[in-house]
Amino acid sequence: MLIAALGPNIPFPAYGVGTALYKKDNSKFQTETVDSVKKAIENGFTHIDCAEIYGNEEEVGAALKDLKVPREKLFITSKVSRGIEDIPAALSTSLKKLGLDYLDLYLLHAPRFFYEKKIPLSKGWEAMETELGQGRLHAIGVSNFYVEDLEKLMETAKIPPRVNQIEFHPQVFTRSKSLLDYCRSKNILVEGYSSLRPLTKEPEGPVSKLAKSLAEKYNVSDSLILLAWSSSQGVAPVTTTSKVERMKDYLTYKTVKLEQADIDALTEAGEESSRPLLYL
Amino acid sequence: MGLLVLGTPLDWPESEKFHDYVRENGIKQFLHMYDSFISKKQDILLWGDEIEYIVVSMNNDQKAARVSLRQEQILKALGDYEERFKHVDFSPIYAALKNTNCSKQTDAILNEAAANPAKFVERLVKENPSFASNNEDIPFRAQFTVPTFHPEYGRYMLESTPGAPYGSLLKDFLYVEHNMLLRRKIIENHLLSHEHPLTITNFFRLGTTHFTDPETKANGHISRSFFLPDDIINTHVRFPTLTANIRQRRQRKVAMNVPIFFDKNTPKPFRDPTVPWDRDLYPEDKNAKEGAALEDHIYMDSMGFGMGCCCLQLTFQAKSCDEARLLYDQLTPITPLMLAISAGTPAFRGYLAEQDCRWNVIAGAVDDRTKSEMETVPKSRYDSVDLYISNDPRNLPEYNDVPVVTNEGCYEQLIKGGIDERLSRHMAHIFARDPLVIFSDNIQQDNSTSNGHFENLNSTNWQSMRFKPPPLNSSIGWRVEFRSMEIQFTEFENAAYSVFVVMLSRAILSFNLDFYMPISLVDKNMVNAQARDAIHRKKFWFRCNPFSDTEAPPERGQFKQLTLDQIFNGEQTEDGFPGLVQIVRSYLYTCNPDAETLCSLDRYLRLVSKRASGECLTEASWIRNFITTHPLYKQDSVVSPEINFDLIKRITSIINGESDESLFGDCRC
Repeated sequence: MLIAALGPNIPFPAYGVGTALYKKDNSKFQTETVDSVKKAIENGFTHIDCAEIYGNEEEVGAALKDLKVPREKLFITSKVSRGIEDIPAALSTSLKKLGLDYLDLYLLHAPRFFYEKKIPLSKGWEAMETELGQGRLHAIGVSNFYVEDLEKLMETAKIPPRVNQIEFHPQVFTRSKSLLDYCRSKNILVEGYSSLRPLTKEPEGPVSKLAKSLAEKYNVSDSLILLAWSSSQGVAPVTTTSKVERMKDYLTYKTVKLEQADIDALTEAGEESSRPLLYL
Repeated sequence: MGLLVLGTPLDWPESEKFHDYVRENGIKQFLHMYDSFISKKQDILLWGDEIEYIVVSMNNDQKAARVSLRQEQILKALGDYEERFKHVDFSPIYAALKNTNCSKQTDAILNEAAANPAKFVERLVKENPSFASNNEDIPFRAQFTVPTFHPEYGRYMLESTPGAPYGSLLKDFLYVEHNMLLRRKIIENHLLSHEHPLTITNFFRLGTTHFTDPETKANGHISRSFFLPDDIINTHVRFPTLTANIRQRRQRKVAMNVPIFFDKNTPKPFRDPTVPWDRDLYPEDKNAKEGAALEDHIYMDSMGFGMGCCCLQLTFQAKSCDEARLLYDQLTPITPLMLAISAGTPAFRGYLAEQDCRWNVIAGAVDDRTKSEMETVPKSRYDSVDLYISNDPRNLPEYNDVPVVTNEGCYEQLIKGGIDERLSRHMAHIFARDPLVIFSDNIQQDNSTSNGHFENLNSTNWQSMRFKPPPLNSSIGWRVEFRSMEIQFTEFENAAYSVFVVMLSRAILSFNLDFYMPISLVDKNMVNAQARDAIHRKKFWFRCNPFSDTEAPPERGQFKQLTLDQIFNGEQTEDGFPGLVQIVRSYLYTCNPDAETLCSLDRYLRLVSKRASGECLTEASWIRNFITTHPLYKQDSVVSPEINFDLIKRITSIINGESDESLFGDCRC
């Protein structure tokens, strides 16, 4: 795609080292995670998406160290949640665990951490803005922010978030439409996680059924149909899997060009089986 | 504008004997410059802007706005200011400006800085020791030096430039707007209280009655114009000589005919009642009724209508000669696009026109082609670029697809001198023109230490891009000048457009972008750029894919027609062109800006974006709108003195901070 030729673009799909590879027991170092990340990068992923809260930044760091891929060829995202009271310190910790000098993208993980601790969103964003241009992060964004949260942020923000990472698949489309429009109007790139949720959690549901039949029509996997649907809505997917075949498959999502009628059908199927948005 | 050598100019018949001499020696000087500087490489990318102003004289009692002809006195005073403060380090002023967010504070700082920068800097450094720069010598950069002021063609015009170049780091872009604001403040301080410096392309009632202060009469023998008094020409001998020699060479007056805007009550056909058809002062007076003045058009018959316009020009210093040549080529297709979104000239000689820009009027104003040359020489010496000049392999020969006149003798001289074919052809094309002004005491020049003959021709070819070799005795390198943009009312806009073009040029080099397209298509774009409301009504040729595939061999490009919105803001399809604004934004991100810088520069990108989409009006549209909705407007295309006065008053308020959402949206803050 032409955009790929421009500057330090954000490569997609991103490989999420997230809840699917969630550390259930924080004390144990999970070599499976290290292996998954290594395989992902070896098979073509260049964007790795992790977070403080998943407790596996060290595993990601170990994978990166092992692979010895030049730093500038990778795009690493992390997120701050529990550490929002002292963002510079949280950033230091993440960088140390990952074994990196800088993050390509750093996100405020969710508004609820701010509401819980009664810290204004603007304060968190200010801290992020102060870090920008100092060398430890190249871009700043948010995750799980809805229109009200973004509006609150924008009241005092110098610059808007580069990205907003949200749950995105046909079943949450109706509830996210106004958010998508808002982000588009502010030039905020929307990243979507849980793109394949309809397939994994509701394999008999209308979305999954339709995805499977479209998979036959286009001669691709049903996962790819949903990733292509996300892309058609202007959302960039964050995916995850531990299987190499799936990794190779997901990386080709941009080659699938869905017809408008099929895009609309998936949207409709999503509306039929509409779900509330997940909060982290 | 050009060089102001002192001395006695030869009259036209006398000077004709020396044309070949000037050409031959001009080429020798170019060869010498080329050999001396071809290996010159600069690490630092520098650039500067030139802004031109029209000094307006307001009479609130009469509700009259006129152009003030006091240029000589004003420039003398500004020259004294420059001399007085040339040793002051201005950087603490910019540090103070950086620290303030409120416009009142900014204004206060600019006022003090304009009045007495030496005292102000002393006080600032005392109160803020961190503002002091620790330099022994004052670095030669815009934020350290006193600005400079220059004369221009019109005796009501001023020009200002930063005293030294800007750098090209992101933080350097933050000085631009403040520097421009300071320049206007300094000018204002040296004007009388009823005078204001306006950055508008043209004075809307230039060439009507009672448009000058003091009063003058249009009966001068230099321009022989029906409308423009010779008094509006800068008194330095170069300017009237240029004017007269152009008229003499072409053996008739210049003639620019701009189609009139037909409104409800505009007489159709339109035969201009303000044209003195039967005047008989000069032999050229009959040009008009013999066909020079077209029906349904606004007829203009003097160089002043063109060179009396203001514009916004940028000069970039490239790293090397090759990089300068590449930039020249890559920015050429961009020139019509920036012209279109900076459009600011919907009215001429008191009438609304069916176009929004000044370009073709200036082209006509200095067009020295004789009647027979109109058949054999395709363009005026003021017009868009005719040849690409880079040796980059992507510069395919078929892109140079318009006929070009060259001087064969000069071409041979250049080739023999070791210049490559493309640059030789370019120079031979520049030198195909006659030198218009030759000073008798400047004919003998030492070609190894002087470049007067070269400059004589290079500076009187006014193209949309100009290629400038390094001057002698200076550290300045190979440069290109971007010349198509129209000037905007406010420093915010002028900074936005300037910084946008500079960042685009950096993006072009950084991402190795390829905007090459046939010159014939660029020329088509130049025509469309000047159309009334080009944003909504015209499409522009554009290369389908400007992203070079470094592995594949260069192939003939594909071109398509896009709207300005699509070109600047992207095609909104998955594989479509992402838009020039997105390209610049990407470049901005590669520099890892901090939040302040990003926020500051983003205002500029948003303005450019909104002008291209039509969300914000171009100045031409805004002016047109003001005129046509004015309560005294009679729907007859006439810009009356009262409308003119109110319009200028409103522009002055906007310059002084009054908001206007239709013009700026929420970008100017």
